[in-house]
Amino acid sequence: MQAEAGLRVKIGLEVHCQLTALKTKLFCACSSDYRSSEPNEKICPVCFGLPGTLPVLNAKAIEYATMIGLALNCTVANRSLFYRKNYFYPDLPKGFQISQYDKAGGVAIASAGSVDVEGKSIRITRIQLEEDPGKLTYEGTIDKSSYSLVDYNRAGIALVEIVTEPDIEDAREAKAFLEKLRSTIESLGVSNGELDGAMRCDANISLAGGARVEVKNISSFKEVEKALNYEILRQKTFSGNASSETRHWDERRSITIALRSKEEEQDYRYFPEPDLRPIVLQPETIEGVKKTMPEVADARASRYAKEFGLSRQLAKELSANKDLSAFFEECAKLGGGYQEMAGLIVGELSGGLPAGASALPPQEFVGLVKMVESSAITRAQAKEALREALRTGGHVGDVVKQKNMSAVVDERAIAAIIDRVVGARPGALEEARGDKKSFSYLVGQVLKEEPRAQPGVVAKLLAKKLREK
Amino acid sequence: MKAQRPLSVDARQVERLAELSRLSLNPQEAERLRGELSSILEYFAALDKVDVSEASPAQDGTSGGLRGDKVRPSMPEEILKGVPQKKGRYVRAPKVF
Amino acid sequence: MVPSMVGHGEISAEEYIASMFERIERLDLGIHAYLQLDRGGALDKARALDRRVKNGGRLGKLAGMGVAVKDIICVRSLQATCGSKILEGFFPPYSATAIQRIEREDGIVLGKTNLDEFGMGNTTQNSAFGPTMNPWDLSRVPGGSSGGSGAAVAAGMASVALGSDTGGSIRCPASFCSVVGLKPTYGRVSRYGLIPYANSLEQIGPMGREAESVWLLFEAIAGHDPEDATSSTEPVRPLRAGGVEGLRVGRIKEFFGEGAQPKVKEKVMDGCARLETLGAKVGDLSIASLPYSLAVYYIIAMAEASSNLSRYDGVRYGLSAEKGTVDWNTAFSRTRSEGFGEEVKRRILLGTFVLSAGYYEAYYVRAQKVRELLTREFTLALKKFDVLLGPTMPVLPPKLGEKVTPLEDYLIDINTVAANLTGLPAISVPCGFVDGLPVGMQLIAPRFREDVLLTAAVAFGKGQGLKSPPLAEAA
Repeated sequence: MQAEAGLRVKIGLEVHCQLTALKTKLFCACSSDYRSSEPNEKICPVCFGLPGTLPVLNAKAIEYATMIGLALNCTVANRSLFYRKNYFYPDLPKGFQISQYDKAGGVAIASAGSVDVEGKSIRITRIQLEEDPGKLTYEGTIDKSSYSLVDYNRAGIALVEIVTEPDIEDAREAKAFLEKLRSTIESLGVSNGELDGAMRCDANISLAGGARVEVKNISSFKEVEKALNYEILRQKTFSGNASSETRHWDERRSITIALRSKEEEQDYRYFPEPDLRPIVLQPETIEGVKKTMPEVADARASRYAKEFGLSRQLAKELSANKDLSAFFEECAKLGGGYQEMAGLIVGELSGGLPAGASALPPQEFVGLVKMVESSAITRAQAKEALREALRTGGHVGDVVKQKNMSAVVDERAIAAIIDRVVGARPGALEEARGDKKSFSYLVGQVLKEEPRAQPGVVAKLLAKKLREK
Repeated sequence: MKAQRPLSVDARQVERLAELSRLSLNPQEAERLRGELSSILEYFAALDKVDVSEASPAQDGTSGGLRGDKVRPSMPEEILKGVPQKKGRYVRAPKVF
Repeated sequence: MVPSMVGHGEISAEEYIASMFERIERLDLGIHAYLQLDRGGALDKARALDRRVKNGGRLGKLAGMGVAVKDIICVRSLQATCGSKILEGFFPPYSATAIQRIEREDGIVLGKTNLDEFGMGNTTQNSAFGPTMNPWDLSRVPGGSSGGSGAAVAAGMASVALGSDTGGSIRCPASFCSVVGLKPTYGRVSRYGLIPYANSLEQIGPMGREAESVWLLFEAIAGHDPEDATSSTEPVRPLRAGGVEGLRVGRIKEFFGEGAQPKVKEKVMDGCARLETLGAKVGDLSIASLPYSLAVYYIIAMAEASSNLSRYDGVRYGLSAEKGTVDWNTAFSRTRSEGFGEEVKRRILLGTFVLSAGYYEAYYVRAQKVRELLTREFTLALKKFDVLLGPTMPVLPPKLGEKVTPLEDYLIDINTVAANLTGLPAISVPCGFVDGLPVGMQLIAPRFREDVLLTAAVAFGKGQGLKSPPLAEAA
């Protein structure tokens, strides 16, 4: 790819995410649980677009969209609006989609946020609430079927559309962004990205100096990387001659295809939806959502660093796992030694917490941490005891007793081992004096001889020895 | 920004509006409508004389009109009864490709 | 009135409703107010009501009243046509909130009445099912778009009626048919079940021969509805005991402008003088932006209409003109071109135009701004006056089939659209006759003060004697 280094790729994403945690649709009280339903089973006069019906907004959807906005570091609007996006299609019951909009006087519920992905900040343009259309299927194949079949169960399902700035530079980064986005939204408990079609994505891609091409119909995150790689390659092959157009991702053939120009010439004639009132969110309301919403990993990591003094790295690793974070916080209530506690949790429990509420009671685990903290046992022993207890289903404390674990605190015995280790390595002491690495090496060697020795004590005695000479 | 307001529509515009609105017009109809639309648009141009610099939307300060997230039974059978063309439980629509 | 007569057993609801259907049978062939009757359903309800009277059960406030319903309001399992071919075969599986409330108060729906297609017109000639005739002169229009409801109550073919008013569609036929018609404050009556023409402007409202029955029907249908996010929780106030004594009435100069026929203006001035003798204080005022209200109204109404009417594509309900296997664009266009009438097409095209890219700011946004200025002016005027007054319609009912251009046709709405743009409640009350043809007087009040309008209407109607159309009298 060296030869093409000059062609910088810019990718912006529009992610559609269903708020699957909602029990009902966005504007009517039909159940949102349509995936296991017969076709056209979850329909009512409102979502089927019968004349004379009116939309009534689901209050919970506002709360969920606000949570997503806050989690993506957006500014949540005190007053946002719904517009009508007018276009015809057989899957669209009213001949328009009720959606938020940020032009023509429109305001979306949240805007101007950012997501950190692998140390890089991807800017979020806006987040808006809107309704899903129905779903078209065909008898046989699309091209051979003489008519289409419509299932309106999905019509009216609540969506948030998340729009990014064109800050993404390749397909891999797009995938990383989407994974981060998904885990963030899932940790809020507002959407389950695993469900079929719950998260979909459109992308716009441009090569430096080239036109902006929109790729629609990417039905899952798995397809995103494939679609983007294909489209980038396609545009590079045309060496900057790509024209501004909308293309369709054909999942079956793994290619993008141009849509006919007629369908591109859309004029959505947006105007404010007269049947709905503005969404008004007082600052106190937004603050209230912020306080009660589940914490997102990033926010949790900074809090752990601040509140418990964990190292940045450890805080990040711990907070990435919701269950381990919860276990840590349970334990932290019982006492200190937070860094040790977090280290043991991340080091030994990342494979998953033992099943059953009583399998590892926090008191027992904290007891173990305290033993390490007070130098009663070493960290290595603690790990061993933990593993043993989890394997056999026994109590950690019992394992420590049975195995007769204890840290060697007799400083004279340790000093003797130090003398033996140093004596066996001429010149090692000299090296250790100026070099941290060599120093740690010697500590390691001593611990190898006597695993029960406390690393801190060994280091202290070794340093003393260096000063003596 | 000075509002740009055409005082009439031409045949091409009428055709485009008909296309956007999914209405097919025969040539006589299109020509008659072109004339009517033009005279109505000319009448609308009176609004250019109004000084709207003072107009600011009266902002509705409450949201209200919301609904709790509580399921009510759907009513599929009664609705499907009125669908003009069906195929099983599906609504049959014209082809899209 | 009927409810107390039924309640006291003076008449049976069944007899009363049956006599109303007999009357319809005799008169409606010449008037064509109704598109559809529900004789069986209505009589069943009347009989059930009579049984309840016998058993001493509780009776609703509208007990036994026969209600005509404009065929743009959904009544469960009665066909809803909106005066259009495009809704062919559409039987709504639900009733409008207003209908549910009427039935809860034991009002009885008689049938569905004729209208201009989707409420677009002021003569009821834009109906796909033929025009309605004015009971006062069968060669003239009854007004519109709620012309069927206006004609039905004028000819005594219903106790009261429901209409809907987007730009004057209740008040215009009330004026032309010499009945009382109220357009409530925007948000006062639920729009759930009202098939929309222009959502931000319209309201369902009551029509009747006497102000008292209009008030009764209004009280029944008013109030907050969780199915309509724009409906209000503001309580309805009772009628004023003191009548119009001390009522400050403001005559709007622009309502008596050049476009109004001199004899109509004179009649309304007489009406004004009568209000004065009843104790009201009359003054004059001007609303500078009123001359722009028609342009503003048509831009906004057509914009909303073009979007509202997009759902009629032949896929889910109503007319489906294309049974073959053409592509969807062609199929949609065929159904819509065949199903919609001329005026509806005109408004869809214009509405599409004013919303389209490049013109939105110049038309729609600008119209909304002028609407705000107009609202501000009315709000100020209603601080000085309790009600504002003028002729409802600047002209007498036109002859059927009279050739006018669409624009000329729009111009006669000049006095009614302002109440819709501002959301204010407005009423048309009978105000005498010119050459045997009815004249209506319009009153406009502050938001949610329908009580003031009806207080004035009741006082104004007292001692006037109820006149009936000659044809109805003969019947």
